[in-house]
Amino acid sequence: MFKFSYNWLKAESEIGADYDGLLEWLNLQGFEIASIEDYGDDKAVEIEVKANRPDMLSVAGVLREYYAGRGRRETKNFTPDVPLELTDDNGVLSHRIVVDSKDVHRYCAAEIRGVDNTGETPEYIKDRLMKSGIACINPIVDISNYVLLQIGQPIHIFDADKVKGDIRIENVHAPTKFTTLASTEIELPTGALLISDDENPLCVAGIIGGHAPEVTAETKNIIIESANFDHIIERVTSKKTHVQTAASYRFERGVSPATALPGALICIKMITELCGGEYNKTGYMYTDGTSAGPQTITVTKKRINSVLGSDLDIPQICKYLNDCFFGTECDDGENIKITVPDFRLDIEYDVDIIEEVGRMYGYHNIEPQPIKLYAPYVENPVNKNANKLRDIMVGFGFIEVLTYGFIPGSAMQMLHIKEDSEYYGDIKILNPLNNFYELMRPSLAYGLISTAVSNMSVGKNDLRIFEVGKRFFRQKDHEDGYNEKNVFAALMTGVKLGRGFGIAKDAKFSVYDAVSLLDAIMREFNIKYEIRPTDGLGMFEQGAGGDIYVNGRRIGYIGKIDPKVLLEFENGKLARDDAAYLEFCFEGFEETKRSIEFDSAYPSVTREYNFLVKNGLHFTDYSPEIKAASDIVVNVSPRDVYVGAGVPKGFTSVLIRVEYNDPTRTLDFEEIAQVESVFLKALSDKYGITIKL
Amino acid sequence: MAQFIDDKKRELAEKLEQSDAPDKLQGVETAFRKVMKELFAEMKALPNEQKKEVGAAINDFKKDFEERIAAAKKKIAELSKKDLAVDLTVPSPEFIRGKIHPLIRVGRMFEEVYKEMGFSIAYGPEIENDRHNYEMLNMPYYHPARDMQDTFYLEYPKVLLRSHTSCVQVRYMLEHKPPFMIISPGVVYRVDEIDPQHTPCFYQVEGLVVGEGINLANLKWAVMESVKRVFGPEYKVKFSPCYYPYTEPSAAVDMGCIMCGGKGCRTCKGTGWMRVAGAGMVHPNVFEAVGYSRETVGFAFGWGLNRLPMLYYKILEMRKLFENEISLWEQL
Ligand SMILES: [Zn+2]
Repeated sequence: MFKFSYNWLKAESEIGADYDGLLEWLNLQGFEIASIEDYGDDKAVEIEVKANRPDMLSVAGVLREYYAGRGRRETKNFTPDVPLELTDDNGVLSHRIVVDSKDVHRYCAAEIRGVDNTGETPEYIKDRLMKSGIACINPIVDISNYVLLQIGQPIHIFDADKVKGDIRIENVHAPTKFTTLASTEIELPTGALLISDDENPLCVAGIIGGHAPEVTAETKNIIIESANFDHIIERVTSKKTHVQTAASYRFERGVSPATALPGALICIKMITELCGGEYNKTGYMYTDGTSAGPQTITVTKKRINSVLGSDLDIPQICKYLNDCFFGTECDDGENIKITVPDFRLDIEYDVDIIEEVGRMYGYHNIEPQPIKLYAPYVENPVNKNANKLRDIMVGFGFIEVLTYGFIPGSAMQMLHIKEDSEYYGDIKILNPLNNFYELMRPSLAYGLISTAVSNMSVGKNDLRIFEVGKRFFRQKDHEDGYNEKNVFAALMTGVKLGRGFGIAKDAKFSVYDAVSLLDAIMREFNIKYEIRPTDGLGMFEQGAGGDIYVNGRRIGYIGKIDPKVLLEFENGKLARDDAAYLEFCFEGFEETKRSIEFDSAYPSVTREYNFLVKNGLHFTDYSPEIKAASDIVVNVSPRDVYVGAGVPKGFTSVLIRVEYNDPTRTLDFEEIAQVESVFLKALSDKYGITIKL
Repeated sequence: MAQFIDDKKRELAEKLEQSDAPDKLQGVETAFRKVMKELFAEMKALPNEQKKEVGAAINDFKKDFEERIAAAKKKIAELSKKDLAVDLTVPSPEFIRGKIHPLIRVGRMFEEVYKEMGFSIAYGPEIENDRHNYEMLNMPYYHPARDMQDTFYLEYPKVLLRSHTSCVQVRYMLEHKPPFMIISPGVVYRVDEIDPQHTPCFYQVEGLVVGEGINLANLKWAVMESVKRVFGPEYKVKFSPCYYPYTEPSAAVDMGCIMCGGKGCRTCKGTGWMRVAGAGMVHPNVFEAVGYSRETVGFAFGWGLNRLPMLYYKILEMRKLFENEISLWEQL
């Protein structure tokens, strides 16, 4: 972000300025207008500057961009005519300057003696700083900030009388405490660039100053620092210390070493004019030799057009580049040798040049072209299964919900899931928004139950909801020690069939409906499954929970949610009815082809039997006995289960329908009676199951 | 004779008036036929000079009364229809379809469109590491662009929740050689306090096309064509220069604001546009990181999927997407 006074920009411009034209151009070039503050005769315009264009974080930068849009090919020279001899002799100023770090690319220092800092900062400076959101302190400090906004060069000014001995710039070798100007104590990470004198730390280079060398109204003699520090150490230090200043913001994005000297010169000129004093005609300049001289890149016309999908010729390409101050040379009509202006630190590769050509040409002028590429289509079974599950559920009247992947830290206790369970979750986020969002979910149950109760709190008690999402768990041998699977979960509660239209009484969801749902889904996928009693997933009511197995592998669980679990949730007391839940992993589901069996030409005979079954027995275990009695038993299906009046304690009454058929002849009743007696005996002998009288 | 005709007329009309059922009407009709027979028989007995006048009167009577019977029949038929009819405007609650979440719905629309264009769908993990999420995407640890994607960590700085689905593209490139066209839809996480327009996780559909001859104009086509097919041809799409570390050149994609039709409103912060995607030509540094040559060409785009259901269903608050108020989704 960069906020500036429009009038300032206009005053600096050598070609006048057109407010609407400026904003339109900035917008077109991707510098979005973030805000505009209206000051009557002036406007403070804030633009969004992406990380690649730190050169736009100054009035000079915005002016350059304005010139680029107007085709004025010469940038404004902000460097004043101030004679200053530069030397690398570090003893030239009143304090010796010792640069001892590879992270310093430039260090320009100049000295002014005998300044008067007791006056008022001129109105125009105050006004321009205020519109950029910078507070006024005293004339010298304000001028240093003014230069930062004007040309983007961070400036630091020391009170020379407060510095004890040498000014030394070096990387700290261990975490070091530092107290900032704002009196907050921070800890500098190892490697941070610290500027100290013989006794005290003075400032964190390029980031923030300390109290020791502070410039105040009484300051008489100053040393101006206009330096260039490496962006990586600036970024790391700013991040680790959580200190971000206008200076650090620019350094971590990149400041051109070319502005170090102009920054010092502008300061000298403004301070001597406004605060008096005499400047030392010799200044100190340290240069590390890197990043000197303009960079050149060669790009071909063919490459530009092939990346953009355009058909630009050499004169067009050169015009666009020249307009944004790149030098171009092309002798053969194909290879363009490009000189990058020193303020464009972001230009490294040919693609960077191509983007410049593209934006100057205008993205809106690029004609869309259909893709002419053949790439083989690869099916994604997880995506296919997820969508199939969604379609199945929509058919059953279920509504899909999406909940966050992270759940409260207390969710495992709420769901009564114990630490030894496979479904216990302990993957925590280090920096959660708050403790409601700190645990990576090991199951979708928390999300679905909380969705259900929150809907109950607005009077919706009859719910059928589902979710498709990831569950997360630890796995030592998997990459980084974590793994995740795509799972499906559904919750149903309340009325499934309301009274009226032939139904005498509201019929409500029970755990058997969850089984029915699972069965229907598995039939759609043509997958054989088994439900075994759960080994203690505490979420379910005692005896009413089971694990779902496919091919001997547990893929999920199903059951009636323990009402005590519901009570753990806010508004959980609103749950009046049974809530049935199922969840399973559907990765690896593969639908196998089926063939249809044609009906027998002879009629079937259907009989229903009401059995008295001891609790704990499974239909899937004992029903095969019926089928085994004879080949004429073609279908055995449960029709109802009932517990209550007329059924002894510990037993369940189960109504079973049996279909008899022989594809070659019509069956007679005696034959059926014969088969009946076979399975009735088997059921009785093996399972103690009798016909309920 | 005329008096007699008038009497019969009145008599029959009275009966007709009282006929409110088909059987009664049948009686009137029979009586009428009988009267007609009598009248014609009597007319025959009249002297010739009277026959003409009386005959005309009888014919008028006949024609008039037949019309009245027909009208009465129609009326009764209509009445009886109503008596028998059930109110077919009352649905029983038997058949109710469920609903797919609006995010997934819009996501599926895009998936379908891209599949038609020949894209495959790639998935990847939500728990990621720094290498896939940042480093290989030209965002080393000191890159300021990391500020754009404030990240949740499980183990700092190595293990994190992916802040974009671009890491799926990285994984895909590590395992496949061009040419390919993929999209990677999925959940991404960013440290964002929950407020009407922000949620700590949201959905993205990213696309990646790598192969010879791929250019920015193809990218523009793929993006514009998908908007056209999902939202309809009347939607305006704008491309403008932008910056992402993993693409160069980069573009921002805006759609005309649906709330104000482009005039500027609160939803679009007065600009008339809504940012819906970022895109660009894949940066050579990314290709190099996954072991391709720097000369490889390809484009990538990324839709912020939360914005699109907002546009599609006029859901004004992003956070509503995760509040799961069932009564809202029932309206879909
Ligand atoms: Zn709008």
